[in-house]
Amino acid sequence: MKNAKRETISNRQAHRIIALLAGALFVLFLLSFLLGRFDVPLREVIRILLSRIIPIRQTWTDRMAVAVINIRLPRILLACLVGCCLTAAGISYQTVFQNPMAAPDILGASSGACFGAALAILLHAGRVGVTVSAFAFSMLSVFLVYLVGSRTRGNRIMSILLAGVMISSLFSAGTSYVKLVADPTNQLPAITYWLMGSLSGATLNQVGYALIPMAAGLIILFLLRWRINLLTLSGEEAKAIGVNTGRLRLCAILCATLLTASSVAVSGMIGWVGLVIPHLCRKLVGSNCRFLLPAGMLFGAIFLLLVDNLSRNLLSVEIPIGILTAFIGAPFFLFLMTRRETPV
Amino acid sequence: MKLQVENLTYEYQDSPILKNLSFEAESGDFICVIGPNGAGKSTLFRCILNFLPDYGGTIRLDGRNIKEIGPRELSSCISYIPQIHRPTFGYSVLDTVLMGMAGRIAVFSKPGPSEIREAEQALDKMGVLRLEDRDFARLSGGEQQLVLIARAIAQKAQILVMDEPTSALDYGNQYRVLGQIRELSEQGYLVLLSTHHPQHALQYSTGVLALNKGGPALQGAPEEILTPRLIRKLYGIEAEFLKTPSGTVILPKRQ
Repeated sequence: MKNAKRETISNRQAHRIIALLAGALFVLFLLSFLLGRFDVPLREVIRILLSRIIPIRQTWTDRMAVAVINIRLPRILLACLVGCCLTAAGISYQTVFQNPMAAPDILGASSGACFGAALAILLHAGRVGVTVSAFAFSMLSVFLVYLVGSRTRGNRIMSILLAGVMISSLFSAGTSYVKLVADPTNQLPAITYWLMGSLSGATLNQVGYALIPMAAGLIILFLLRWRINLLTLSGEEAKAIGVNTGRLRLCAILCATLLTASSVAVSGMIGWVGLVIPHLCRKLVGSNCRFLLPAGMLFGAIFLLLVDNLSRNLLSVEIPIGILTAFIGAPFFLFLMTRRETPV
Repeated sequence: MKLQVENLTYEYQDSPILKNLSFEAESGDFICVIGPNGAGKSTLFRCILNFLPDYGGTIRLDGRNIKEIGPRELSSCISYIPQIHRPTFGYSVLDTVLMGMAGRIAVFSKPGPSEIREAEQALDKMGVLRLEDRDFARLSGGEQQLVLIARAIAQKAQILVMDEPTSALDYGNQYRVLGQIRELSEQGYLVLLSTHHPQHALQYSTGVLALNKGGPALQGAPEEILTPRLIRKLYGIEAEFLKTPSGTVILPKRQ
């Protein structure tokens, strides 16, 4: 006796959507190599990429290889990774805090990173220094939030969220102060530009460093994808089922924070991805994280790659990607809000 | 399965909520816990579920102290059916029931075909299998309550603890859900249920536990314990007990 009225999608449909997203990402990934001032035909792009894995007779010029491997590949990889991480972090935070408005920067990871980057630029640290400092301050800020939030009495989830708002504003004030004392001819523009978010100038080395914490967070969350659904139960409900949600929650928060911190550290502030893409994916595959998380990871990568392609090709001057994601994300979110039939 | 509560005492901020409470129940019993607000109905349940560790006295399950039973094993003996609440995110009914089986599913794993089959059997048992693809958040209160009971059944516990399962339901659903719960107890489940309606206890339970603020608790068969005197003592109102051919009706007097 099956009910004809279906409000949720079946496992098969969800698998199909995820497969479609994976296919779309693959196609977009290849096509993205064709964009840019220097023309490289698709056939050569594929041959150059394959030549890194299997020996192929060289039919391309060295300049083509440089454009594909040294310039376009790191940037495309980074766009995919950052989009994937920010969306996965957004979904995890939304599930952990049972709050549809939760986003990757909710625990102050972004504002901490911004302060770290601004400080490093002020102290003339190099590009690596900026990234490391952003990452360190990002983790520090989340650690502070967790410390304060877990020492309060009453509703812990609420106090952690409140502590996040407070610590965020502290670090934002710190960033403003750094901007105030920064040298206005070169440091201030550098800080401002960093805060806008950009993937330009990415190198393979940089991608390599970022990949370690990103992969760790992504793999753990992916493996826990069914289990983190249990965080939507009340603590007592979960306990009666025989599940220790305290450890699970901490693990999900740590992974999401790792993803946010490493994304912001390499790309600056890229807002909206971690809020809008999770909601879009909820419409596609539902709220079961078993499907939502993989779909979100793929969709996040597709979205940021698409936006980054626009950002580097739309105008002759590159538009910082953070500006574009906000321009696309905010109106889109308003659109989703006004036409929602289901609780988001 | 046998549940024994011996001299259970619980204090909150130095004022006793439960004092030397003792009772026993076993498989097939349908125990209704009644009493005014603040009499300790929820506290009693939370002690039995091992949510509150710092109580006095002993709670035994088949002779074993529940404090010595691990959370996972305890979850295979006792399940908890909370009052319905509106979830933040919409899960399908099937997914909701599958979550009840998490204790048996490995950390990095997900429910497989056999778990799905068991979840569907549990839904079928509660007569709500046709809802399995619906969004849990969009069901009626009665349907949600039945799904939560199905989740507890899928958890494979023999003791069902329900905190006011009928409080958010409309008139018809209250009796439909109670009927289903009664059937479960006849199949051998031990049901512990709290309610604000002595009528429910009178009509459906096999035993009543009356908790009174400060006073000693009373336990016994519903038709023996439930009297106008008890109603006056517990709730401070007068009620008439009307015997009719199809059962007794508790009629509170107009105040």
